[in-house]
Amino acid sequence: MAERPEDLNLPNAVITRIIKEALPDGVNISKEARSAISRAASVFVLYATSCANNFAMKGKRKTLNASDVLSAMEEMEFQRFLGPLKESLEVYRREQKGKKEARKDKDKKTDSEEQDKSREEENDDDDERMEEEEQNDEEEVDN
Amino acid sequence: GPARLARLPLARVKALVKADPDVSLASQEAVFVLARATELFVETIAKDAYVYAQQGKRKTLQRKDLDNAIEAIDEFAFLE
Repeated sequence: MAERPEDLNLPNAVITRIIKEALPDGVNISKEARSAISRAASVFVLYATSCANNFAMKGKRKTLNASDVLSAMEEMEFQRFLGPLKESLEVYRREQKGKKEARKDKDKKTDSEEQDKSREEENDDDDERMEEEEQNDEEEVDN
Repeated sequence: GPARLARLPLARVKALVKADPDVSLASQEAVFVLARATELFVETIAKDAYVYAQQGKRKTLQRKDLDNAIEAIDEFAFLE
């Protein structure tokens, strides 16, 4: 069943913080204005997704990727976002790569530690790894 | 700054992406860039709306400021 935009909203606290940081000190925002911006943000995601998906389909790909989203921004006349988005993406990629390498090292350590019977089980590391694996998998959507 | 990581939770953005029946798969990077773009969008629309509050000599951003910005600015036509 398709969700309506109102059902898919973004967290109020985060939206409010972003708005406040964008505006000068001492400026307030009414609840109605905040709600309207939050709804607009949801619509933005939906519209950008649809736009990005067109680029994926044009490229005969089933998976929406980062460059499709960047192309969508250009199409939507938000070219000024491209610079900051590309920078953010680079930082994000470096961090993801760092996580993967840390995980590989942990795996090496864990293998040798399991042979030590007196070692306490470290659940924290495992939980972190599972969370990352979930994030790294492409999301399959059942539609 | 521009290189800061997204603060919008990726899971919520992902839920919106999944709402599109034409989308089958989306990479984690795509969701990240969307989240970051949405933050930039929120900053932009808030600033553009604030211009109208200033014109009205107000220090509180109101719904009508937003409506005015959406009507006046081409990039926000998709919101009408």
